[in-house]
Amino acid sequence: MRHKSKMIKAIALALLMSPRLSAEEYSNGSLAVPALSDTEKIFFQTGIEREGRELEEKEAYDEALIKYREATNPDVLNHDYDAAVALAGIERIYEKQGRFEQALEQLQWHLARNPAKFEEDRLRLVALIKARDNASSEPIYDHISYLQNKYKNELPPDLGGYTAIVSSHIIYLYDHIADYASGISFVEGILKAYAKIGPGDPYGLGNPYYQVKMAFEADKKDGRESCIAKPGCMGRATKALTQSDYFPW
Amino acid sequence: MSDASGTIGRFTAEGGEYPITIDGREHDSDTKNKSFWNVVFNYLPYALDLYFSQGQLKKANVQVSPSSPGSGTVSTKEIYVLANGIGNLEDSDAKSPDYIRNLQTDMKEQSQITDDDLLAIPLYRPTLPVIEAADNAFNKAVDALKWTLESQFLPTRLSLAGGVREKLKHVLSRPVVAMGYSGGFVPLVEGALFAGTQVKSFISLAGIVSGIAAVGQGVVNLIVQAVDKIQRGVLQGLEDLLNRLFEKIPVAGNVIGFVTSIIGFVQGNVLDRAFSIFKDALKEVGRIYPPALPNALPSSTDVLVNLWGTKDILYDFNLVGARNEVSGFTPGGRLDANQNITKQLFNIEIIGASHFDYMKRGASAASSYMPPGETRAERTWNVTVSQFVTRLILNSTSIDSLARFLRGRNDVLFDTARKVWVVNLPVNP
Repeated sequence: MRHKSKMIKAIALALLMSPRLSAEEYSNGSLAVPALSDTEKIFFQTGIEREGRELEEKEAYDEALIKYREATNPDVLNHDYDAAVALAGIERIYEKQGRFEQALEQLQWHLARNPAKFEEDRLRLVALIKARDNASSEPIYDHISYLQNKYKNELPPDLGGYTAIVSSHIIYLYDHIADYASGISFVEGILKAYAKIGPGDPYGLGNPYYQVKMAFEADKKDGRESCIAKPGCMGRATKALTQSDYFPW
Repeated sequence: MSDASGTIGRFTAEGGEYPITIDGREHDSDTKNKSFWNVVFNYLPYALDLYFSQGQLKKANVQVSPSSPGSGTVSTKEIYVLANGIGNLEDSDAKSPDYIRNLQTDMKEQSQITDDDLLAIPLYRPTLPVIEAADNAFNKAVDALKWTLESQFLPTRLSLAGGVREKLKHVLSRPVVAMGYSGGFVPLVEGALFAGTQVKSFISLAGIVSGIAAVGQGVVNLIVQAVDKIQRGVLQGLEDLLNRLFEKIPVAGNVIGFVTSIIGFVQGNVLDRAFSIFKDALKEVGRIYPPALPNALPSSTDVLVNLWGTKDILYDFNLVGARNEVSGFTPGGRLDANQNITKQLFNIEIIGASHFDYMKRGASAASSYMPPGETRAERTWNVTVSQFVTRLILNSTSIDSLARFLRGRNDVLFDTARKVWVVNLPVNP
């Protein structure tokens, strides 16, 4: 019995890893995977999500998308809401690739289930689209103000459990419009807040915020232009966010 | 064992006639912080192992320095350590309770996890009677409280930590994700510190509990005895017990009124009501005292998860809940010597989860299994909560992994006012 169970899992693993199978087949559930127990599914799906994250951090976005889609296969879910984290990965990658409309379309799944939580993501994507279409940074500045006001308890001088999340969005947006001065000033505020907490010195390459600051300064020096009209363009600060083990971006 | 504030405990060597007294003052010149923990940690440089059982010091060993992980191959693959808390009804101290075995079985069934990737640490059973797991919710909840309080007794605590250390010293070459449930969490942390384990993440399932033992072991004993008498409806000596207790602790409200009401409801055999009043009287105690954890966790630890449910009896008593700081961990994290941001505390609240929902309970791990005495709705809810907790454990390997997980879930919101991740799972998924 135990042997049979192992065999089924080996088959399931092989099916999920096979390059011949398309992501669409997984997503629409037309491809059957042998039955797994509820906890097996959790382990299985979490493992695929982790592979997706690793690929995303390496900027292997197409491969990461395949993994995230695999993780939405109904056969590895106990409930439809278990697809949420993988779908958030797909949304994030579309956004990083400058495919804002597709990201927005994908976001509808989250918005239908929890509009309050995901409204800020919708607003950010709308701001990015407006900025691109109107060749203006104003929608981006408006959205940054919205985030700074909504999360004022999580931003300098205070720091909290949401700081890394909200700051990564603000950094990304400043980077997108190439406002390096504001980006540097924003990150400097966070560095000062951490300097107060200590015990280490925040001004060192080990610190993810310091890495972002250095990235902003490098792009400023090089005179890199705004990404508003260049889908998929990414400054050094956004790359620092992506490759960091700290920022969930 | 003494510190500046007096004797904490006195122990007798096995088979010997002489009591052993260890006085921390001889080794601690810092008068600002004379807690029990400082006394114990003063012995770490000497790598002194103390083995306690039932109030007796069974053995004292000098080991290799805990800071030396020893020789052998260093692996980067995580090992998941699971330490139980209450409700271990097994007749052997070497056997973990059903909910840990269920999680272990599930994990091992998965093709990518092997026996070598899991370590279950069975912890000792409570000394007071424990109601069967299939009993009613009230009795089970009260048992949870009794065991949690008992685990704070010094001899019990040292004994549990010693057991954890013995297990953990075999996994020093592996990064550890350590989950401790209820009264099993503090011994897990203590044992990991003693062993020098490379813990990446600690996950507390209602285990970061206000250290009410700080008010005095005698007081904790009075609380446990009062809880036991109320639970069993024993009137004899209850009034005297309550009066003695309420003289020694801060109580928010009318003490005489509390005692009269509790006695009245026990007389009328309305035990849950009596217990509810007792709970209200003790809320202030839970609010005041910080968790009974060491001042610092292992230097390797980046993530500390503080999880509880809003229907957990320990939450009712203010014993578990949101914290601004635990052992140097804060919601915003802090800097280490290499400028990394680390030591992040994740406060996570599951709406509607009781003390018994965090893991799948019962004799079988199968979702279709129905534990005796439970309704289908109760089992479904238990499975739903336990599935979330399993995912949480798997995603707790780093700060960004956990943040991505919580951020991506549509049933998790961040409460900026309390700095708490609030989990609102569907009741009928």
